[in-house]
Amino acid sequence: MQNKKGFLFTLITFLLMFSILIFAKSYLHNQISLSESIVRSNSFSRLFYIENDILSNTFYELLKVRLDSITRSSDVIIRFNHSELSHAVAYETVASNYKDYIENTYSSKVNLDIALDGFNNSFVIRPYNTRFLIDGQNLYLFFSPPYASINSISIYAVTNSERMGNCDSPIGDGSGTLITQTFEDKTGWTCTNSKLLNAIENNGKPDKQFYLSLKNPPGSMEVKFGQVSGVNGVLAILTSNSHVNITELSLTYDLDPNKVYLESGSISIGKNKTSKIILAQE
Amino acid sequence: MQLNKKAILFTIDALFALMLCLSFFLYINYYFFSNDGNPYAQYDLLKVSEDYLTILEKSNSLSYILNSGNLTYMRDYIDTLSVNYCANLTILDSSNVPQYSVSKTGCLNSDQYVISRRVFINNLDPYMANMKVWYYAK
Repeated sequence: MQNKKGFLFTLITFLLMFSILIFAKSYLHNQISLSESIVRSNSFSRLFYIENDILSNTFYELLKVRLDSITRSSDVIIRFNHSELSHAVAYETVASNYKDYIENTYSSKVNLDIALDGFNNSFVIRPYNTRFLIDGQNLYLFFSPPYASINSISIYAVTNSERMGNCDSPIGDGSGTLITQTFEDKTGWTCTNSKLLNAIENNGKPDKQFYLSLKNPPGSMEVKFGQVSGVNGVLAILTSNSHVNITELSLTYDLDPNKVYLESGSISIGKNKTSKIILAQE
Repeated sequence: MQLNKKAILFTIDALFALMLCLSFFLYINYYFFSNDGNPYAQYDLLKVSEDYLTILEKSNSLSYILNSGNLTYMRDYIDTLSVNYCANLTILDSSNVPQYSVSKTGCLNSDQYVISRRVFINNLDPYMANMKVWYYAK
C-alpha cells in the first residue's frame, strides 16, 4: 500500500515538473522569437529612418530646387517653381560637402557604412533622360537625342538687379522647341519673348540669345537653347553678378507610358540596402 | 473529522502551491518586462526619440533653434514629452561641436538610455541633432 502511494506521488511529481518544464520551454521559445522579430523589424525601420533622414527634402535645402508638379494629359508637363542662381553659392561644393559629411561623420555616428554614389548638384529626369544641373550662377538642362520629345520650355526669372535696356531675343529657327522666356527686374518691369528654336542649331548671336543687361549691380541674365559650347540639346540659364530666382521652369514633353521620376545616383546603407535616390516621382 | 482535516490540509497545500506558482510567474514577468535592458523598452524609447526628431526637423524647428538660439522654445518643446520619458536634445555642427543642449525639466540622468540622430541642413551646412531618451525615475 505504501509502495503504491509512493509510486503515485512520484508519478504526479514527475508529471507536474514535466508540464512546468514544457511550459517554461515554450515560454522561452516565444520570447526568443518575439525578440528576434522585434530586432528584425527594428533594423528595417532603422534603415528606412536613416534613408529618410539623409534624403528627405535634401535637394531643396542644398540646391534650392523645388519641383512643383508633374502633370499628364495629352503631354507631360514638369514644373519647377523655385531655383536660385547666385554668384555667392557654389552648389557643387555644397553637395560635395554634404556627401562627405554623410559618408564620414554621420556614417560613424550611426555605425553603418553609408555611400552616396553619384550624388552631386545634378539629377536626371526619367524616362526622358534629361540631366538637370545647377551650378552657382548657371542652370543647365541637357536633353537626350532625339530632341523631338521636348515640345516647349517656359522660364520666368526674377532678378534683384535693375534692367539696363531691353531684352534681346534670338531669330527663331521656324521649327523645334518653343522657348518662352520672361525676365523681371527688381522694379517689377517684365519682358516676355517666345521663339521656336532647333536643338541642334547654334543659336548664339554670337554668344547670347534671350538676354538682359543689368545694373545695380551691373550684370546680366541670359537663356540659351540649342547647341551650347558645342553640345546639342542644351538649355542654359546663365547669370552674371546677380541673384536670380527662377520662379517657373516648365518642361513639356511628348507622352511616355512610363512613370516620370527624378533620380540622383544611389544610396547604400550597410551591406544589404542599396537603392536609387528618387527625389520625386509621378 | 479525520477526512475534514485532510481536506483543509489539502486546500492549504494547494493554495500555497498556487501562490508559489504566481510568485514565480510574477518574478519572470518582472524580469522580462522591466524597463532596464529589455528590447521592448529600448525599441519604445527609440521610436519616441526618432518621432520627435523627425517632427522637429520637418517643422523647421531645428533650424529655428539654431538661428534664433531660443533655448526656451527648445525646452518647451522637449517638456511636451509624456511624463514617463526624460530626454536631452543637443545640436552639433558639422565638426561635431555642440551648439545648443537642453534637458527635460525635472529629470535625473540615467545609465539606461537610447540615442537617436537626425541630420538637417541650415544655410547650406549640415548639422546633427542628438536626442537621448530614457524612462523617468524618481
